[in-house]
Formats: sequence, C-alpha cells, structure tokens
Amino acid sequence: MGRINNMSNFLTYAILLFTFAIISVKPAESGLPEKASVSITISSTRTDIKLGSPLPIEITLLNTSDHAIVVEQDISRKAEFVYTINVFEASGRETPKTDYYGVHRGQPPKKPMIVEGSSIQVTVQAGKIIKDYADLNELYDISQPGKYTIQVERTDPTTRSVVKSNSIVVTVTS
Amino acid sequence: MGQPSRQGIALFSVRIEFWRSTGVSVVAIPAPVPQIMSGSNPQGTSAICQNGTIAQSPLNVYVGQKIAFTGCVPLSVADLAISESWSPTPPTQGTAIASFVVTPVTIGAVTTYQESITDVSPTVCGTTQNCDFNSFYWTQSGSYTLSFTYILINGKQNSSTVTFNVSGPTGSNMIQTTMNTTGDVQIQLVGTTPPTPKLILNGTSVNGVQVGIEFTNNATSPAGNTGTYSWVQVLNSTQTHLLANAGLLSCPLAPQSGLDNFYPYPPASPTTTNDSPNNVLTANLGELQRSFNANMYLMWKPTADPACTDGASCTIPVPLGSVNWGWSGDAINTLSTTTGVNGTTWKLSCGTSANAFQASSAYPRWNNTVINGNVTCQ
Repeated sequence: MGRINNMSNFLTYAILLFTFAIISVKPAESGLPEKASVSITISSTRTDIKLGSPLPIEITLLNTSDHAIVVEQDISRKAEFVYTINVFEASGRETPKTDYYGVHRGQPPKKPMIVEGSSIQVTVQAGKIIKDYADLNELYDISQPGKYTIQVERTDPTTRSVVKSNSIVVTVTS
Repeated sequence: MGQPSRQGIALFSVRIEFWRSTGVSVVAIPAPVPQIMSGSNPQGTSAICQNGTIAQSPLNVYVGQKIAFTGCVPLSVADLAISESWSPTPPTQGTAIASFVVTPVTIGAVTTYQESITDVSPTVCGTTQNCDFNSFYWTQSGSYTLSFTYILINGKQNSSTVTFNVSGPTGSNMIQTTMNTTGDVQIQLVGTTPPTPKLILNGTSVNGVQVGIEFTNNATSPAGNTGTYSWVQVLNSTQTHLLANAGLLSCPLAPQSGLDNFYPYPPASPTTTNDSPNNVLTANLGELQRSFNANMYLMWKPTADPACTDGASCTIPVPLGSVNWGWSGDAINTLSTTTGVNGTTWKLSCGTSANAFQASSAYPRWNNTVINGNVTCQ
C-alpha cells in the first residue's frame, strides 16, 4: 500500500514538473509556431446581390494578444491596401482581377493608371478591433451571376505569419 | 452717434403731444443703462429681456463654444428708442466664426466630406426692446469687449459692455513632428502574394514602428476644459509623373488638392497620428516621380457650456495651427535586381521637408476630397 502511495506521489510530481516545463518554454523557443496576435473576420451586409451593384465587405481585425500591437491601415480604410482579398467562383476558379486590383498585386495595368495610398500605423489595444472595407466590384470582374466565395488574409504584425479570415459566400443574381 | 430719422422726428412730435397731455416732458426723460442678457434667444422676442440671465462681465468662455447674447433697452423707455447698435459687429476678423460644419456625402461606396464655413454677419438692430447679437464662436484666445448702445428719441443715449475672456489650448509647438530628412523615402517590397515594390515614405522609426512622418499633439488644454483634439490633413498638391511605354504621363493631368481621405484624419494613438504616402511600382514603368505637399492641422473642441441648450451646435472644433510638410521621390526601374534596392529592380533619388508648427486660427479649407486608390494618367 505504502509503495503504491509513493509511486502515486512520484507520478503527481512528475506530471506537475512536466506541465511547468511546458508552460515555461515560450512557443518560439520550443520550435512551436507563435500564436497569432490577431484574428480576422469578414462579413457582408448583403449576401444576395444584383449584378453590377456594389459588393461591400467589412473586415474586422481583433487584437487577440494580451498587449497593444501596431497595425497598418490605409487612411482611406480601403482593405485592398493591407489585405490580400481572394474571390473564387463556384467552380473554384479565381475570379479575374480588375486593372486596379491587378496593380495592387504588382501586375501592369491595361490602361495608364497608378495606385496611390497613405498608410498609417495604428495602435490597437488588447481585445480591441479595427475595421477596413472593400467593394469587391472594384477589385474583381464579377460579371457573371453565381455564387462567389470570399476570404482575406494579411501578415500578422507580431509573428509575420499569414492570418486568414473566415470564408463567406455571396450570391450574385442577374 | 446716430441722428434721428425723418420718421423718428414725426414720431417725436406725436410723443411730445402725448407727454404734454400727461404733463411730463419727454425731453427730460433720461436713458437708463441697458442690460446684456446671455444665452440664445430662439424666439427673437423681448421676452429674454424680462426672463433671461444677465450676462456677467467679464464672461469666462472657451474658443469653440457657442456665444449668444442680447442687448436690452430698459422697458421704461423701450418705446422711445430710435436707434440700437452693437460695436464692433461682426467681431474683429479672424477672431470669430458663425459656423463650421463638415458633412459626409456617400454615393455608392464612396464618401466625400463637404465643408461649410460661415463668417459672422454684422448684427443689424431694429428699435424693439431687444437686439440679439448674431451668434458665433470665438476662434482665438484673448479678451474681447462688445458694446451695446441705444438712443432715445430725445437724443439721450446709454451703453453697456460685455467682456469675454476667451481661453484655449496653449503651447509653443503644439504639433511636434518626427521625420527623417535623409533616408525617409524608400523602395520596399510590401505584401505577401506576391510582394509588390512600392515607393514609400516610411524611413522614420518611432518607438520601433516605421512611418513617413509622425505628428504628436503637444497642446495643453485650458484649465477647466479638457475638450477633445482631432487632426485634419489638407493636400495642397500631389501628383505623379511616369515614364512608361506610352511616353511621359501625368497622374492626374493637374496636381490634386483637397481633404486627405477622411474628416477627421484618423488618429494612431490618443496623442499621435502618422502618414506614409506610397505608390505601387509596376514592372511596365521605366520611372515614377511623386511630389507631395500637405498641411496637417490640429483642432480642439471644448466641452460645451452646461447652460447651452443648442445640442450639437453648442461647440465646434477650432484650429490651433498646422504643419506644412512635403516630400518627393523618383524611382527608376533598372530592370535588374542587382542594381535595384531591397530585392527590387528599382533605385531612387528623393527629398523631404517639414516646416515648423505655425499657430493660427485659420481653418483648413478644401473643395473636394482626395481618396486613395487608382489615379488615371494622361
């Protein structure tokens, strides 16, 4: 009976020690990926949209860390300056980009145009959000009725890893 | 001093007859001291003279608070008044404003901001018992005295004055700027899929963050009124020139000016904001040259006077001054990452400037809103 108690105590100490060791080691030191400091959520006020109408989405970035972080925004709050915005047709094919969004992604435009921005580095407190906006009709050639899947991503300001948003589906009708 | 009008002389004759019949000579009637009542008089009637609050002088107020008051001829002689006036009216130019309103106008997905500034119009009095001074907002700290005078039909007159001690934020350098004058313009790869080269102003490190220029609010609020601060940036001139397959192009054809995207300009923290203007560099370009000049304004809006009942119009933001700043950059596509910088095919020449803070009560002015995004080239 006494040996069993000793064994039980030993195991308890061992488990506690192991747990403490895991807590003490930072993710970066342990080789584990650092936890992202932000989460991204996208939403659209309308999911059923007439062809040619504005197709607005709202992008909310939440500081999920326990400290203030600095996040880049364009002062216009146009999301395309700081997010990669992906739109896929129902077939899974990427929707063709407009000239404007193509320039954002480094592609030469068909007509003479440039893209000008003004970024601002904003302090976001722990647990707080900032919002950006995009009109998908400005970014993608949405000329066919159908279902479109939208997802955005950006670089985490702390870990430099890519953080992806949820996906939403909008239906464009003729 | 105003002279009695012909109509006034006729009225005088009639009143002499009246006073003769009552046995009192109008010529001997004195002109008692008029009263100045504080607060709005939305009805515009003389009821404020009986029911209003007498303005204490001096009145301690803050820039940006609504100022409304009325001159009252004493009721005992109100019927005999032939002239009433305020002086100076309007208040000295550059010290006050009648209104400042910015209205967002959204068409489709685009929001622009229309500005409306109204100067104080001269107050024209009638001959009723009250004369409401056209309401306004002081925009500059100082001590100002306004005088109300009335004249009776017998030529006797009297005056009252009200003095406003106007306070606002203070500081010798209310906007502090941080900006590298060398190395601030850069060419960088930005984004992930794939990274895009940009000509960008962001070579200034502030607390570990790279920006083009940082503005810090160093103003001290007046005692008794913390108020709130905001930023407004007006672009004086911004334009890009290109050397592309189509030759030399200007984007747009003439330099742009106007409000920089948003009113007010977004803050970066409770006391700072910053700006890093940039251009995307695409592979089809041989050269891109950007020039940029702007004024960043610091505005202050006081807490409303508790006695003010006019809701949102009880206060307006007032400018404390501005910083004029600018930069230019010229990126040349060398077509080789060996000769380009930061892993791009581009190299650059550039310059920056930021002038000292200028205290001023002059409002930022704009006729249109310049919104970031695509700019057509011709």
